[in-house]
Amino acid sequence: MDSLDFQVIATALSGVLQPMSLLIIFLGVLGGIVVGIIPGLSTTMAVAIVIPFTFAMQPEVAMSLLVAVFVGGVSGGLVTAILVRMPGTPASIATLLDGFPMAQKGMAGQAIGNAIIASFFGTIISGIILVLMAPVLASFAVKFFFSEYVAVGLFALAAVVSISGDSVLRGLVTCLIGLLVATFGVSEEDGLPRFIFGSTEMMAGIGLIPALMGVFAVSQMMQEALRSLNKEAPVPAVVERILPTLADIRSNTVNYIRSSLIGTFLGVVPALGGGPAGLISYSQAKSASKKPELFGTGHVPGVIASEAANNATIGGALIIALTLGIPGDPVTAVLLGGLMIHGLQPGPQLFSNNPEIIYAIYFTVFFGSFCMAAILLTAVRPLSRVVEIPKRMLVPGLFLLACLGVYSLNNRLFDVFVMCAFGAMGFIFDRYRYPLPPFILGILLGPLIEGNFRKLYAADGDVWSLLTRPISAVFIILALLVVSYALIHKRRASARLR
Amino acid sequence: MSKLDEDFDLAKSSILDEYGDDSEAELHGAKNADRIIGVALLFLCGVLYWQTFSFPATTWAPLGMAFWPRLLIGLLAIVGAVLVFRGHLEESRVSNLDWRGFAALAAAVVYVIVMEQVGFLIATPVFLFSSVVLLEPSFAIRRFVEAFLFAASGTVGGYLLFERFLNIGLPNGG
Repeated sequence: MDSLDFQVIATALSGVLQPMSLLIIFLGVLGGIVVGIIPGLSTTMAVAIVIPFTFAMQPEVAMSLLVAVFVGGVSGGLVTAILVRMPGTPASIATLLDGFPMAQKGMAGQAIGNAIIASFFGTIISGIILVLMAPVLASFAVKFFFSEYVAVGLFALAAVVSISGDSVLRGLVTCLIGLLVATFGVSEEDGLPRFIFGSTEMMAGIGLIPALMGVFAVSQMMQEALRSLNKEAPVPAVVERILPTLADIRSNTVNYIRSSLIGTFLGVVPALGGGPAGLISYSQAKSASKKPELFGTGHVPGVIASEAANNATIGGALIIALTLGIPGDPVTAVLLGGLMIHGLQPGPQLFSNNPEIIYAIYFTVFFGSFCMAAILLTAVRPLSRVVEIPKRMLVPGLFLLACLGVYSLNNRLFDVFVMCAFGAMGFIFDRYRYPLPPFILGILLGPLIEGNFRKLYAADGDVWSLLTRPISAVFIILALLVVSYALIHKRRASARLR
Repeated sequence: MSKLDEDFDLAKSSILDEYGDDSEAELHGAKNADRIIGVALLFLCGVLYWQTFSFPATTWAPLGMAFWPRLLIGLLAIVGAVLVFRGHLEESRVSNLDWRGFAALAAAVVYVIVMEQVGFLIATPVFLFSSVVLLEPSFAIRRFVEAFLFAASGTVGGYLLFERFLNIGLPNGG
């Protein structure tokens, strides 16, 4: 991969470095931050809703916008986590552990300032790792043949089933349902329909975007419609001076770096997103600290550990999504959906055939971080007011946007109905603690696994190469290990709960 | 892992506190949920498996079109059976199915159906207006004015965004 050819980079970036595209990225980050701030609206939902609007854009600008929303969304949650003890997005769960106590002590501004810098740092470091590692992984992925794709797909499913939620069995249910849903419609391999129930509209299958939007956006809106009947908007605490000093930053260097590395690494693991990364990083910072008892009382390193890690998952998740097509977390799953809508497939061929997309994404990770820091550092006070938007207007408004967006894909109301149906399904799953990430991975990876499995069988007459070829054998073994570990660990955990 | 679990539980519980009663743990409230879901899954598997017999035959491929779906259906059926026999799985916080969520969705679906009949420009203001009024009911005049303004601006905004800016046709009705 001779990716450091500046000529290639310059041409690739020319699409993104236009004023209009930069503005779009900026607005995307801003939008992501606003969604990130509002509790109950997730980054996944934001990216899903934006996707249909990117249809008219060039692919590299479209992907930049989606990544920009990603960056903004993951970062925005820190504001409400610190000010009102409610993380705006699940990614900022760990930030409130020390962020809110700081706000209670009148140090909200300092908490926010440190959180912003940590978020910035985390994104940048994971961006650097992304730029360095993605081409390496892509050239490794070039060696992938049928068995490797099957093995990696199975590993990703195993990982996500084991990690999500508190029950492997429930994760299996949603995963299998996702895999089955992916078979509806005309089969790519055969050109013939499956499970169309006599309807011509079903020939095109269940659209990925309507399903994603239903499960992640509409089901959330249904939940929010419930909550709107309860409380008034909480009042954010007063925010004073913001910026951390250079001394603050220097004394926490190790924390910044460790947390960013943890976040990047965890971002690579399928389905582990910002929330778990923040918590694990927080826990590590606490055990590595000379004064662990201060954690939880309003201690800056706690805030740093959480926010640096959760933002660092961005780079990590993108590495594996772009090179192997396996989403590192639910947001990247939706992002991959956005990529595929433009007719592109993730993988090594994306790096060689469409470098402009790759470079646009790299660029957005960095430029987006700058936008994010600039926006948050200057406008926290007005931005935190968005929490006060009443749900009775927010939820219908978002639903309208989602409807219009889904309708715009194919001009079919059928897609909107599909979205609503999946919204109901997602709502039911969520209420009964059936995890959603395995469903998404099932629907995304189903065609990949099935297609490659059948090709493998057709080529070899058997599937032994899954175990005889080294790379796929490794992934199969990893898959089994992950599932066994989860089964044992969860059994122990549930025994403790009784 | 215990220290992490502590922090995890701490974070989770602090969030659940804030989010209030509708997501509170009901350890006994949904005891049969998993069993019912198991039964539903078995039924679904039955239907889908029956459908696979009507797939067109693909004799040129060694593994036909029905192979993969049948494999998945089989696995799902096994899982469904386990759910039925074991009943409620590991104790975990489960919320009840709140009918209000479905009511909101039903209203939205009605909106979509009506939109197909009468078009975007008529259905949307009605939907937006009624949502504001019904989601947080109040008899204050201010609420009705707010609902009216929201309905108007939402419709106009949506129309401009889609018909003019993005050049996407919206349903016209009839």
